[in-house]
Amino acid sequence: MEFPYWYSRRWMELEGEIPIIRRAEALKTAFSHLTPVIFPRELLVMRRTCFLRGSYPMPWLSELFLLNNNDAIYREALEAGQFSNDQVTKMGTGGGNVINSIGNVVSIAGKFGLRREELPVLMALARMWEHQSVEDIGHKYEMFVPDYAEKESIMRSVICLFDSGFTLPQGREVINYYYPLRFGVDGIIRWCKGRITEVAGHPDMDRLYFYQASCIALDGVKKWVLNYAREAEDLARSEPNEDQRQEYADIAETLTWISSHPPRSFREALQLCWTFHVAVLNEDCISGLSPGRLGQVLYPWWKQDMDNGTLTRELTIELLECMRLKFTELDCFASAGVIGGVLSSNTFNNLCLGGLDKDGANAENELEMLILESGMTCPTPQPTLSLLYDEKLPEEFLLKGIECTKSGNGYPAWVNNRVAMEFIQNNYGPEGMTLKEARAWAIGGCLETSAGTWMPLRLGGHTYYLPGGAGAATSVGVHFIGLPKLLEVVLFDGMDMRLGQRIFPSRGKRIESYDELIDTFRDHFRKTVDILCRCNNIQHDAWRKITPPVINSLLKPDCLTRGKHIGDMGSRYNTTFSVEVSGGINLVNSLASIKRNIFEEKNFTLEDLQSVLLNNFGYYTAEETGSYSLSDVKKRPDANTYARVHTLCQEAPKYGNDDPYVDTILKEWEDWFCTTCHDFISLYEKPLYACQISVSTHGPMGAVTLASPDGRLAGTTYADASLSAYPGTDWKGLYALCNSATCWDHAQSQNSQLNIKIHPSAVQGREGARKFLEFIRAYMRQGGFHIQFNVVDSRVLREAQEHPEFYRGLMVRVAGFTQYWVELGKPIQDEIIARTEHEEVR
Amino acid sequence: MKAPCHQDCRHYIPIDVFHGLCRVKPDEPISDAEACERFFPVKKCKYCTSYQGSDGEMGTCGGKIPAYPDMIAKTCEDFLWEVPPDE
Repeated sequence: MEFPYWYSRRWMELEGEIPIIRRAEALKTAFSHLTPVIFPRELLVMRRTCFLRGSYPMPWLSELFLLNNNDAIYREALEAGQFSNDQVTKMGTGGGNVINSIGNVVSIAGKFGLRREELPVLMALARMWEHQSVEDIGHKYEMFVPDYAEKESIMRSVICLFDSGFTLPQGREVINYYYPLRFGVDGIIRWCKGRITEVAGHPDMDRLYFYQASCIALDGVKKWVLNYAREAEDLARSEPNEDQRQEYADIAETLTWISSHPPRSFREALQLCWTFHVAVLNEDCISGLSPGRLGQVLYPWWKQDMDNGTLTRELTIELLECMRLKFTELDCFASAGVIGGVLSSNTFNNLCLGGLDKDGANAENELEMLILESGMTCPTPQPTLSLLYDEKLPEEFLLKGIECTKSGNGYPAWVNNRVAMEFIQNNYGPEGMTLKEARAWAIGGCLETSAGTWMPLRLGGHTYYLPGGAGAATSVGVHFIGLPKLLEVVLFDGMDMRLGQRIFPSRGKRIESYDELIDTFRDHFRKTVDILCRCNNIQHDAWRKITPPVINSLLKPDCLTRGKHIGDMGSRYNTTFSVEVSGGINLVNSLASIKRNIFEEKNFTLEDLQSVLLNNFGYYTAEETGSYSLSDVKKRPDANTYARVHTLCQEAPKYGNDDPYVDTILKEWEDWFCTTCHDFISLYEKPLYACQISVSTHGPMGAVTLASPDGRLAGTTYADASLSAYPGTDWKGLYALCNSATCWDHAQSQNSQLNIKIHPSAVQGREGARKFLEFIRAYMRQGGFHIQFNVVDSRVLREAQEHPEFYRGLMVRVAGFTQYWVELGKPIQDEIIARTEHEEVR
Repeated sequence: MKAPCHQDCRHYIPIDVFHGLCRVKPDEPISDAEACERFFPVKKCKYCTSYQGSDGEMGTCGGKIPAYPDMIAKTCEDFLWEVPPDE
């Protein structure tokens, strides 16, 4: 509770001050008072809290979920649907999750453990921020949006999973470490002070406040780093072991130097990057702050040290392993619906490898080979790795990537460099994006294609161009719409039958044709996005006014040169709001089933379908059985009543089999969806775009959805990702699945996502590795954007579910991220077990 | 005041809210367990002259600003031992 305590204390002292200055002073005070904690044998230091893996609440953003359930303001929020996602989220019960209060530890949001002696201060701070937080101010003003009542209905129904404007106001973006690396902390402060004298008293005074805020916040970061340096010195003085004493002394020297100056070595550069990474994460509630192409950023220092003999490959691997552990320490403090339902306790720090350099040559380097190696020698969930596949990348590098994917840790994911560049050029073209700059892109978060830029650095007689993020957060917009849930509400003429509540007005007539169904669905989709987009814009406006980002802004081009923070569009690229959807494949399969069974072959009527959906095809629901996939279902005594319709629904054409009937429906949906998103306008007056990753949302969103017309049962998870087949329905093999997945143009969307489970025997040996690479290459050549793998035997997963105590270190790929198996909720575990297991790669 | 426990000790490194490491003994002590003979207090608000309040509740720093007893005050410029520990 140190950070929130000191932040709030200073904030309250400065009432009346310019908001960004008040914010920077609060940040400075909080950073200056963080207790430095250094563990023995750490080579890389600095952490978010005093715990090995810790986080803290930010009540200035969102405080309601911390309050007592009996508080009036809490009950009001409950009624408004603000906690509906919390109520349907199943948290993981193992690993580091504190799921129940015990002894002197209090469980919060089913995950975080808080020392009981800190509970009074948490409650005091939460009450202090009542009616002042971004959540409360945003809510106050979003109620001015016409049809606001419909927004509450949508949230209660969980057609949309959460309000993104204040829960995760930053993230799904790529950080930029360039300025500290190039100029050092003191260099940035000097530069800002120079700009202050130039802009003071001139129009656009916000620049003055931004530069001053940057100096204040950096001063706080310096003090934080120096507190760690002093701690390391103290430890060195009292340490009896000579090796350990030297390590503490080295840490102290590194930190003291980088607190002011640009790095002189690879180790200092890595420590400086990590320091700023944590600094940004401490500033805001962020999921998906990606280090981007870190191996290319750090390469100049690594090459210099290797050339002059001060660094070895062995020490590089050790430092990279330390880095992996540091990233795995990261946690994000949010409500259960966000931390469990969306994030599955992950924070999506994605490290990218490969791709092209500024001039179009392959960008991989020797350090990236070692990053892949350290991902195998030190398997941890974070940072996850993504390989930016391009035909120009050398075979040796690609085979190293295959070796790492085959190791079964769920990374690297394989991402199509050319498709991403095309999206980047299209999306950011109006803001001046060029081909050269498009090459600097990287993944922000799980799979959010993010804009970057190249920045020049001169070191050791060479000029390098470092890639880094240049766009605002892509974590905001409309997140996530459960497409099968929306279809369900359409099929019941605007009613949510689970809640027994009306969500949309009745149309007053039945649906008579497939085209009418599609038109009605599209109308409801548009209406949903429209309301949510406007409410989110207000929430995010409250965020930028109350808690403007300072540290992330000063890192990100062109905030410093423009004198504007990210919330004032200081970033070079600002077309970053999206519409995220979940359950697309269940939607497409359901539409195929309705089209064929109701309107073409007239096997049953819409009313018949409504009846079987309400009766869950004669099966017990997932909630009743505790099983969240089709791999383990239980019939009710009256199941035969519904068996015929269920069979017809299951036998309708399914996505993933290279079947034009259903693939055409997918293509039509994708083309419409990707185009329609542009009709909605963000806070920054830019069009929204399509984003299609499920993260973990297919669990809670499946939980609120009745049985669907494709044969899926009530409460079970949707198909994961956006292009994964529904488990067990892709029976024609991997290449048929890939043909279906690439029936539409992936460059229209920020992403697409295809997860595949492969039995280890299918890719074993050198021959298996080559076939594996050829398969991935074929998918990329067809225009697939992303593919990732679980190379695992499903029997191991079942065993791990039965005996989690023996599988603490087991990791699996979910949908855009790797996570410890034991920290996943049961719905997601069941879904991964049920995924089709491919036993052959030809 | 309660008897000091491991998490009140300067040698204690918290791994999580339940347990930690000891810098002087090869132990992984439970944070709430009673401290050993090597106990040396870490700077906390409850050991500071400015802190007013009782265990388990919010108190104040200097009689005005809300504070809580178990907050580590290692980085607080105004910390002053109420009872200076023996080195």
